[in-house]
Amino acid sequence: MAAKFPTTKHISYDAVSAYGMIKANQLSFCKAAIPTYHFENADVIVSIGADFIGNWLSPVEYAKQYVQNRKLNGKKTMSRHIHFEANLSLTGSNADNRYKLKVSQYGAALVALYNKIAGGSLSAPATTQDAALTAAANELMNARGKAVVVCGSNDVNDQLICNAINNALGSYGSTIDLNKHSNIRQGNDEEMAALVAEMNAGEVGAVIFYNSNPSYTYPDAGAFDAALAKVDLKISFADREDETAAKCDYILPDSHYLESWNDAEPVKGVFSLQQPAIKNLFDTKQAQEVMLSWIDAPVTDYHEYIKANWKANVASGATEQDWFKILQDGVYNYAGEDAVAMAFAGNVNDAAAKIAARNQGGDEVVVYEKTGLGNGNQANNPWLQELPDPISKVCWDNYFAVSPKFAKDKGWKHGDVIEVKAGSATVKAPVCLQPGQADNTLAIAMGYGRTAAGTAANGVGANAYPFLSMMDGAVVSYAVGATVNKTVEEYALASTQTHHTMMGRAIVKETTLDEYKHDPTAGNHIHMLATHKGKMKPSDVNLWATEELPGHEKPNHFWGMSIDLNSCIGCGSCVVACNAENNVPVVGKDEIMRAREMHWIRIDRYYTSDMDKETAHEKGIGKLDMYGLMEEPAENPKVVFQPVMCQHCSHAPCETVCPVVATTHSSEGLNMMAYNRCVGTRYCANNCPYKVRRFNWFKYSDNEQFPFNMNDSLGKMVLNPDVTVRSRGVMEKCSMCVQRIQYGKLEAKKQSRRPMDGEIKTACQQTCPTNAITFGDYNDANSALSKQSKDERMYHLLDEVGARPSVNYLTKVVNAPAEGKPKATHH
Amino acid sequence: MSHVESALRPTLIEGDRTYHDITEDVCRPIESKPNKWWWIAFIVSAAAFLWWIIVVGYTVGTGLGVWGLNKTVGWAWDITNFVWWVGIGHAGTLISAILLLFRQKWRLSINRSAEAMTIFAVICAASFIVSHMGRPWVAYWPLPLANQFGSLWVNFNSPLVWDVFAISTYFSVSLVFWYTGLIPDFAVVRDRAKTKARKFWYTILSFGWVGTAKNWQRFEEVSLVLAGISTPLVLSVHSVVSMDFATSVIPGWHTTIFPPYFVAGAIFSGFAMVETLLIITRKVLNLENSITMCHIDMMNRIILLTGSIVGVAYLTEFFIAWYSGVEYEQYAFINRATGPYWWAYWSMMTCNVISPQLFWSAKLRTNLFATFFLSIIVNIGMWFERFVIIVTSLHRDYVPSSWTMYSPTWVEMGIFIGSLGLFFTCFLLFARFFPVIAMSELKTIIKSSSSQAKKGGHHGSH
Amino acid sequence: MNIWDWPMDIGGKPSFALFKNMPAFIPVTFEFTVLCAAHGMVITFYLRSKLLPGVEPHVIHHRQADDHFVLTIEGKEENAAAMKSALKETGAVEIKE
Repeated sequence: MAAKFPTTKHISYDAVSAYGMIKANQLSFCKAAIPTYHFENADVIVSIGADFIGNWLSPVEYAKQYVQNRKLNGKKTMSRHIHFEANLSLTGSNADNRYKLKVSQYGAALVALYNKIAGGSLSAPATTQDAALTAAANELMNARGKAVVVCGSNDVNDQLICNAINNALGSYGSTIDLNKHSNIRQGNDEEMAALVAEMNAGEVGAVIFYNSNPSYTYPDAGAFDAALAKVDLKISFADREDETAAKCDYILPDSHYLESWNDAEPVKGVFSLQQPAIKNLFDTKQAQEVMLSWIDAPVTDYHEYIKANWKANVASGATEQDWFKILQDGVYNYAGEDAVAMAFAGNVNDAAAKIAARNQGGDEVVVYEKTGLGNGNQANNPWLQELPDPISKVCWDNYFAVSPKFAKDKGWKHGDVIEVKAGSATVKAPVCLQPGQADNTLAIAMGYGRTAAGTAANGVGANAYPFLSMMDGAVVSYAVGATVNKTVEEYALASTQTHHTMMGRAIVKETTLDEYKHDPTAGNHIHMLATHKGKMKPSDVNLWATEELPGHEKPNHFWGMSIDLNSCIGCGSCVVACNAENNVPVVGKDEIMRAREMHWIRIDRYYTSDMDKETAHEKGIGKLDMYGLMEEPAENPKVVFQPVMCQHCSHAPCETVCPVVATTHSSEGLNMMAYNRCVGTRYCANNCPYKVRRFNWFKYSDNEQFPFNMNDSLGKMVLNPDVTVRSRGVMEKCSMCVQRIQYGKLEAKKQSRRPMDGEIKTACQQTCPTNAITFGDYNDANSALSKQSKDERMYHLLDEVGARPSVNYLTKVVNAPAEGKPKATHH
Repeated sequence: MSHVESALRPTLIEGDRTYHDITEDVCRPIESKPNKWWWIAFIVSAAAFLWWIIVVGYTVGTGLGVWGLNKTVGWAWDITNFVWWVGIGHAGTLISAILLLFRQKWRLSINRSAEAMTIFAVICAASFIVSHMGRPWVAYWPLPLANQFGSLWVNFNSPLVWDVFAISTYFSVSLVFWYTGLIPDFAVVRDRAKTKARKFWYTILSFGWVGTAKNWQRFEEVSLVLAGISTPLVLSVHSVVSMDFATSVIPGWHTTIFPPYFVAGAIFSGFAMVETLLIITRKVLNLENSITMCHIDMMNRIILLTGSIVGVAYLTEFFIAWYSGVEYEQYAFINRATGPYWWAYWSMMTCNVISPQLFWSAKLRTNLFATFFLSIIVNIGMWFERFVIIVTSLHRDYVPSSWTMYSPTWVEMGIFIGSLGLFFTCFLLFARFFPVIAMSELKTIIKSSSSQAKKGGHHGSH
Repeated sequence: MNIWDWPMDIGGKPSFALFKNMPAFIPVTFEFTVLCAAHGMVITFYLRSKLLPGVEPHVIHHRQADDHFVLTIEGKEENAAAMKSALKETGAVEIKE
């Protein structure tokens, strides 16, 4: 392009910028890139506002790495994760110790850590967590070479200090790799700002937008639009008339990535290819081919172009045969240069001075990405809108999350609409009470408030991008000095979970690492039942000796699932995967408000409460008051996640009560649901102690009331043809992906063998980034499931009800010192 | 020969009525045009019934989503109303059957209306069963009918199937018991019929009854056997309905006190509804001589007895919840009394425990206004009892993440009001066209000989 | 037979031997017994009494169902007068031949 149009500039723009990091790395190590991280090599992780397993940079990759040091398969060591943040994030909820810290103090916190670790004496304002920071610094120093400090701020000074800390800790080369840098963020905020200025000055003749939507995501979108209007030729390759494309002269829709050829280098030296999986559904053309035709390239077929480029530059000297091999593998590793030792050359004094000069105090706004919806370019995906936020469990909206104390001081209640002004932004959104949030902080998610994304996204929520602003050349996602006014409006937020504590019940069993090392069954107290034969475990008490009687044997397979609560980070990928695999209908906000979401698997999120049975006993508080107080989450609660789906109970309460035998138990251990027999009395759902059954209250397909993916032929292409679409009036629930089980068994049978462990994966298991879900065959003594089920941490949910679930859980072990009294969660 | 009349016992039929008087009293409403009160009541009820058709049609056509139910609370007003109506229906059979076995002659003034009330109440209850189903067009699947699926029968483990058997048995047996008793009375109307139409219809309805001694003998035998069979039936039907809850695992439902508790509660609310209906009917149809204060008194005593049993059942539930040490059960009761539905719980307690105890006072037992008012209070209380049992147990059970709230929509409320319309429409039609008192049986308890002995005459003795 | 044609595991209950699964059948057996007994009795009653809709009633006297008993006596012609006087003495209200 540069040859044909010499004045062309390629400006990389990221809606969620990491330019501060890039600039900091340039200043620190003369390398303008973001590094790759290796959390699996870290024994101590300290995060200052980096939601690294939620949405920071490469969360799926980090989650996989992080969890390797959290699983306790046979070993008794775990990493230590200390987290400081303003709003309660997914990563913060998984931390061993989490501290509330206002976002304007992140920089000061980093300086404090630096002083301790590198022995510096930079001046910085005090933070509210100085004691915790000191303790964290000590732990980091004890783990030199196996530690990492990450910061979610995009301010170049914060990141520079962070680099200095990591350098002092010897992280580079162990937990951080700047040689093999990451290419997933290359956006340059300074160039973008310069572009806006040039456009405004009329110096830009033509602008082409590819995979970017600045009219929506640019912090000062108004200024951007005004500048854009002065450009003569505006072209967009967007796949729809989005906010930016609507202002362009031409829209040349790019093909979908599943219809396209492409290549990528996400990490230096790791190359990947992308090939079409489906022919173009619409009349689209790949943007690359369009651009090749503009420069009159000899080859405009992008497939050929890529192949030629690879053979010449990437995999030099590759033959056609080699090319096919690479295409089949999908990934090509290129050795490249040797690793270079990085010498830190950043000016920490300068950075610390800028941090110290920063505005603090007053109310602050933090803008974050929701784990599901991200930066908003997938806002029109109804599955993502309906996916409950992992922390707040609110869907179909964004909101200002505030701490209950802050809301009480201001006289706000959940759902009050407030208007927040910060900088040049004014945004109205409802209040959502969020335990664990720092006081005087309002957190709002970006990605909402779109106006041209599609029917599912338009008009949903409020656009939070205006709160972003440039600071020292990079776009930061917070604002200080906000003024807030309460409006008279009230707004109902749809939430899939409205009760947040465990009420003293042993739903999620938890213990600390110290207790676990002492006794592997710590925290896993089995509720013994008093019988005439003495105390017995619920699994040993049986009215009928059915396991020995004919008719209930499981001669072939006995499917089950084990969920490791140490691995589950609560992200919700399993929920979306299940929706996709099993044609679970999207029901929309109104129905969610009526508690009728259809998700077959849900992630329950519990906060701890200050009141528990021991405290009530000590303080002599009666049961009535105790339960009332137990409903309130603590001010800085611990958070646990628990995925719950149909437990496929051997003594299922639901099967007994169906009048028409619509639900029975298979000889392979699954609780089956015959949709075409169900008359819809809902007794089974009432009798389920786990409340996992879902009823079809309306016809969700071919129904204008639910304008999602089951109403037109394009939407119906999303449906899985192996799974029935259920009709109105019928009950449904997790089937353990029986269609996949059947497929796996048949494939194996075709090869005259039994399915191997790990061959059949349920959708949730397949998608889970941390492998928290293990599906397998209890009849196979060597299966991962059988082994995991023999773990001392293994327990069944609501064991004492006697339903004999086939799903079990592994107790969550937290690597935090026991606070005062030993933390037992069951009596 | 003079007959001895007990000085302590008041006569069951007042006002020195003769056989003919009774015939006249009971046939008059059938043979004359209904007065304006009947028309007003009928128009209101028919309008409510029409509304029922509309909202049930809307539900069946659009989906149960138009109700307020959700993933946690799968039953609420629908099953509350079902149990409420079935409970009300128990009084009729109890009056006809159990009071017969206990030789309580005072039942004869009220048994016909009470049995009619049972039939109509069970029809209303059955309507809720069908309309609460997700797919009511296959509502016949819970019936054990042979079919072509290799014959796929129903799930006999399920209390809902026991319900199918119990309620259809109860309905059909009550219907034939009621109808068989009606036959001699239809014959009376037929024999008096002056118009051709009336003669025609009542000839068909009376099945050719003539009233020979042999007919009567067989009639008495059938009544006795049906009474004997209906007695365990009425006790079992509401026990089976209670097992919809008792055999589940939900805290607050899973308790063995339910069968006797529900049966007592059913009789309690049934008698209250009988009183509500008859206090009005006797006034409007001028039947005060046949349905006397003595009857009201007796019914109030039964209300006192069964209300006390219900109160004791409540205490038993608390005791067992505490004694068992099961935290889920304990929380269920703490939540009922102090949680978000505390207002329903305390309404239930006030209406069901306190109000029947007022009937210890003889003065209140024989006061028509008090009785009428309290009978409605009792039925309100019993409605709240079923609501509390169903909704408070479901909305907060084992796993706190699923705890949610429930509130009804206008459709559910409309169906309930519509069912009242259905019930009263049927009852008003019954009062218009059918003899509301079992006159032929009532005549057997006129102490005509003793009243004539008082008068001093000899004629008419037999 | 259901469990033979459709062998099903319902809630882990021992459904393959009747005497083990028998508790589930108690309410149904009881109700069905009552149903058959009651309807059997009533149908027998109707049949034996020859009562069915549309049967023409053989009404002897229009007040037989109201407030009078009717006695029909079949006898010889010569006894008629003696019978009449005997009946009158014992309080007959109306005598018809």
